[in-house]
Amino acid sequence: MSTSARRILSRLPLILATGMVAAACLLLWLVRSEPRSLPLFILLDAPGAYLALITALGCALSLLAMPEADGRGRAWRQAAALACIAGAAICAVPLVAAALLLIAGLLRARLELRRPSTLATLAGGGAALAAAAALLLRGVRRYDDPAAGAAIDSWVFLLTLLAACAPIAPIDHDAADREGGWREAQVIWLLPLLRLYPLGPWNDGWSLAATLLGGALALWAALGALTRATPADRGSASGRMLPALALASAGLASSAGVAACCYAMLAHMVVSVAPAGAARPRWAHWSVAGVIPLSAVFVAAWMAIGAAAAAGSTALAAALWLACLIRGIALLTEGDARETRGALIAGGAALALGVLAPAVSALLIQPVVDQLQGGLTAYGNLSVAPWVGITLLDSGSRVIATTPTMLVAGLMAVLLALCVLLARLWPTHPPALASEGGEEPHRAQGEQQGDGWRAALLREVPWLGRGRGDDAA
Amino acid sequence: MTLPELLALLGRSWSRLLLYPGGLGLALALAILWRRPAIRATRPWTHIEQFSMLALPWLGVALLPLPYATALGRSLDLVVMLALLEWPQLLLAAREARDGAVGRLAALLNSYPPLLAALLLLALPDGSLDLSAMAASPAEGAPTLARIGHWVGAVGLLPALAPLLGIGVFATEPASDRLVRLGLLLRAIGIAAITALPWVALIPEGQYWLVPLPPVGVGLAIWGIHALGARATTRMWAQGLLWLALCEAALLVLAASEGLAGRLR
Repeated sequence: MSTSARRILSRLPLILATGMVAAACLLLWLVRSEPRSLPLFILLDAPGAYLALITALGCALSLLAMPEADGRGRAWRQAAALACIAGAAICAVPLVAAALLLIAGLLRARLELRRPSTLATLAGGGAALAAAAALLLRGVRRYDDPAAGAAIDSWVFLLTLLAACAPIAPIDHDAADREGGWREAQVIWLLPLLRLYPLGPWNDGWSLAATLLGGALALWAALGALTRATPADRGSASGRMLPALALASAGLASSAGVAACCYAMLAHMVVSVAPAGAARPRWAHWSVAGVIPLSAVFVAAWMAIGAAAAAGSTALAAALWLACLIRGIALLTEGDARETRGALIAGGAALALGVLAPAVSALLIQPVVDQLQGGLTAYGNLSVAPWVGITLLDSGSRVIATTPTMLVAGLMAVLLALCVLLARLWPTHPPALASEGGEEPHRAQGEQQGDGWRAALLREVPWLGRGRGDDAA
Repeated sequence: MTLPELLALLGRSWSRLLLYPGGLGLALALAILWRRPAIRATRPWTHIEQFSMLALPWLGVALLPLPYATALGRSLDLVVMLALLEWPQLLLAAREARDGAVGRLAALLNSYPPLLAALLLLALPDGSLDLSAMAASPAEGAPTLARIGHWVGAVGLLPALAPLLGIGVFATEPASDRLVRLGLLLRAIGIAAITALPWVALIPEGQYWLVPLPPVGVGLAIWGIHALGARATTRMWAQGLLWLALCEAALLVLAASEGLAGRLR
């Protein structure tokens, strides 16, 4: 086989993933007004198309970041999992869709039964299959079946919720998971949960369960990202926060909540391109840490907090806000490293998606929100204003939260230019003392080697430190 | 909004950036910094770090909904404003933590739970995170618990200022770089302004000479915390703030339950 043919063959998974991104975009455009039922158990709707799009995008970005010398088997396994997810996204039969998602999760977990990720996938997949089987026993064969709404009860909901929670449970991942094979599994089970909305409104208990679980998992993940002992464990923990944020937002049962869920899923797929636990260059840290207003992670957090406030869940808003701040701090305190392709792609994509958040919300997310309206409440709406940004409204159409991204970006550019001018007019480095010549700059007092500072932090912060001293020692 | 309207909005913003409140805040920060001696350099910051640590809090101060500032028609909310103001402190605290000094980071983490709870209590009556809503008194028709929560939040912000601004027992070594110190001072001015906002709403319309009173009051509170707070240890402060956060969180949950009950009726 010639060199060019071998190169094309090695890049075939990337070509297929890119093609799938384009196909998913086209599908989302075609079904943006209403879903379409086709023969042979096919249902084309916006939530399925959106999931296919973001998983294909994440797959394409990670294949782009993958060095060519890396295992070809991993690339083909990723492509096969993607095909299963695409199949589940357009499948109208709940049982078959759940089975396809389970296969996709197992392919990414590499079918090694003793690994925590495999066990979590089996637990989640088993719960989803049980929920789908319960629907089948009640005579519901397809999602668009007229009797589907009446067949859903608390057991079906609980099993579907368990399927969504299992991949983001606080379990330790091993090295293979941290290569990036786990990220799709953490969000794909949100599709069965979201597909319950068109079937009918959720009762308040279901919403409360989903928001409580999601909020608690987000806070737990954020605390783990700051206090766990090894960089790999901290990376695994921080990688769980966005899916937990998506789960909490999905439980709000409002347009703003569903939009926040979708955006968090997209941000998760993008920032996870660099393997969890890998050190990143400084600017990529800023982009994925989610503390600067123009990054995708910040926009996802902002939407979740705003959606919670619009729904009247101010306690949830406080928990999610605190979780996002802690996760941001955790990522900022990680050490710098040389640039890698994955870190560059993740950081750049997160920044681009943040600035383009209004366009992403209007074109990709709004169709999903429109098609889930059957079960959504009026307590939180999304309004996208071109050239301004995103606004979240309450049931009375009053502004709850607003991010004028374009205005902020423009003014920030002006101020950065003024800062450059100020730096030229005013020397910023104080002169060295004459007696000390070329002495090396000293370090801060109380220096502790490596990550020993985390143990000191746990002692200084009471609510952070109880029962966590052993982890960080 | 169209592109020409956005450009017009950007054009109207210059007075906020360079005069009031952005220019005034910068002048105040420069005046405070002018008299302070230079500090021996530790590791230098990169240009992008320096400029971002000055530009973001400057933008935050410029976009505060203060009285008599140029109206833009668009305002920020609490989440974005806090992100803009906190950027220099987060970056500095993270660097110091990597170097082994956790004082600043610990102070921040001790301040965030009561701070976030207090800010959300302020937003309770209107239910909005918009900053301009925070600058208004609770409406007459707002639930009683929400109105009580609003004022509990307004008062609850004051103790959280100690670790947030690094005063009293939470004082840490100042940053060596002048642009970074300028950014931190702007941050402090912005946070003090947010703390004063709920009290500004009490000033009757037209009584413009009373407007400086709330910021002066906040300044006196900061001085009082600095003078009296040294009697307690950081541990005592941290535990006190934790209890304050728990009480505020309980009030949030109660108010949310009342709202949910009203919705279900």
